Amino acid sequence: MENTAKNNIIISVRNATYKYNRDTEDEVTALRGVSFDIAEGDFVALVGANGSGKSTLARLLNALYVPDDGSVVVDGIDTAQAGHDETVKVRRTVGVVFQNPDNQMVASVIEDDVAFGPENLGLPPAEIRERVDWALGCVGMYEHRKGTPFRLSGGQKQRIAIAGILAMKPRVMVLDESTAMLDPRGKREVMDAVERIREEAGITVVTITHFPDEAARADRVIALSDGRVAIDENSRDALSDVERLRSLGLDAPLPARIAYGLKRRGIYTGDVPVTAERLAEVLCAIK
Amino acid sequence: MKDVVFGQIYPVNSPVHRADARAKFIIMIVYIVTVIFARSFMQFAVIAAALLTVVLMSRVPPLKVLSSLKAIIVLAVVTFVFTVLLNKGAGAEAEAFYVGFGPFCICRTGLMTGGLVLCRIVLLVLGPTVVTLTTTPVDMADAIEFLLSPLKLIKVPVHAFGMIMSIALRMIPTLFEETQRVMNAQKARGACFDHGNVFKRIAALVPVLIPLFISAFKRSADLSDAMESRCYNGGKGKTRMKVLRFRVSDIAAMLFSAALLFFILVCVYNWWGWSWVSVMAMGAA
Repeated sequence: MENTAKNNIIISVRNATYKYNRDTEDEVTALRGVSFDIAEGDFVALVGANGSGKSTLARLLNALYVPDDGSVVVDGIDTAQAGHDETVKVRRTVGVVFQNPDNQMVASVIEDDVAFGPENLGLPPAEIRERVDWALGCVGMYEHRKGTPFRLSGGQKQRIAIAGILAMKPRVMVLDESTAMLDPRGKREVMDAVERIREEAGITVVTITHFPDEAARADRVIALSDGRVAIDENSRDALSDVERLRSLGLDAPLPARIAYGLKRRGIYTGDVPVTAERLAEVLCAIK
Repeated sequence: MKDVVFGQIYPVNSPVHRADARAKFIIMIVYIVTVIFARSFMQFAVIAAALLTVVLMSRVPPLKVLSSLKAIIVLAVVTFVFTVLLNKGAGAEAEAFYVGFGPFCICRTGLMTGGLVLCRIVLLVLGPTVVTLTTTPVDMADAIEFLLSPLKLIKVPVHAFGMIMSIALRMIPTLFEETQRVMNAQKARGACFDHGNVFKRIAALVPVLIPLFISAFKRSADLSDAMESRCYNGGKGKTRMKVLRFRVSDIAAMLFSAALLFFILVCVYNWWGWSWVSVMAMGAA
């Protein structure tokens, strides 16, 4: 087992495998031996083509599933061996925001929905109130607290889902394709809120996405391919290798693709930039 | 379709709207018992006056409350007609007014009894209508969960009922939207929902219901994942952010409803032989 004190490793995945419909004829192997560590404070993007096992991995990190083989250790607790109390502890440590905001709301009043997690933790009412107000403030939805979620945009709903997780004060927040159903404005809203929370609350963020531009916001990129880790590097190195990403069925961010195209035509020779700002600098430098 | 008002709350701010939903439910139950015990026009008038006071306080237009009677108009008329026709009172000789035809008759006692039954039905419908017009469905679900809580002693999963009600309420607009989407998708491919006879129309809904069911199941699977990852474990050790607390006004209102019930019971049974009670018996059949 990984020593949690070392580098403040908070999640340690070792050789995790997971099969759906195990021991039936419909058996599908989603993960075939995945290993990585996530240290406290990391901002990790988990990318991969459809069916690469990303969403399965999100559920493993939260002890919704336990690995068939290998181990997932969250803050020193092996999810496969955790009893009820320890499982609750794992879920308090790692909160997951899912893809469809409509499918994760339990109450018809926004603040009641955000209170659902802390209520389940059995906290005293005054503390729940405090956490709910704080969490709604963090995602910029405090003014809407008495309203219903139905009239809101997708981005706003997803921010409420984030507040619902935040109110449980997790140390790691996993966003499982949480922006996939949103329009560009909603995506930006949500990612801005996530970055703000990361800075203010110091929460470790794992964002699962198939949008390369979103992955470019992270510090580190883990790419899954066919149930295995194909890339695990800092995001600049991982996302600038256009060819390698393409071979995994992934797109590089647009700035990287532009720079790569220029490079192939011999117009440009330096590093491939990953963000729009860097690309602008690069383009300006071309004579 | 996002503006579906489910339940039928009339959204204004009033003391009745603000009152604790549990208190409103308890008062409603006491009220129903009171109406069932009352047996003279005078007593019904007292109850109606109390109800009217509540309606005026709630700032819901009285006509809006009365319009709920549309739903029971047939029931009320049929009950009235049969009560009148079949009630023979004390017989043709003893009745002040008696018109007989065949097995039926119209007599004074019959008319009085019919009128009382009519009053009772109308008041029984109006009371709960005031509650539904002034309480959000969410509060009602909470109130029902609270009132059922004694059943926990005999191991009835009251918390689960409450959770089911709350999620059902939460999902109504979502599924409504989904229905609309599926119907539009089917229309785009030439489906027709507003032509043909009843059977054809029902048959046309099958291709809407099947995708709707599948998506509802998928949603419920997602929702259970989301709930589990937010540490839901069937409500064990769960606390509440909003602690329900009866206010003085809630308790006063409940006491008042109990007083009304007591008053009507005194009028009906006159345990102490008070003479004024005969006034309240005016208009009894």
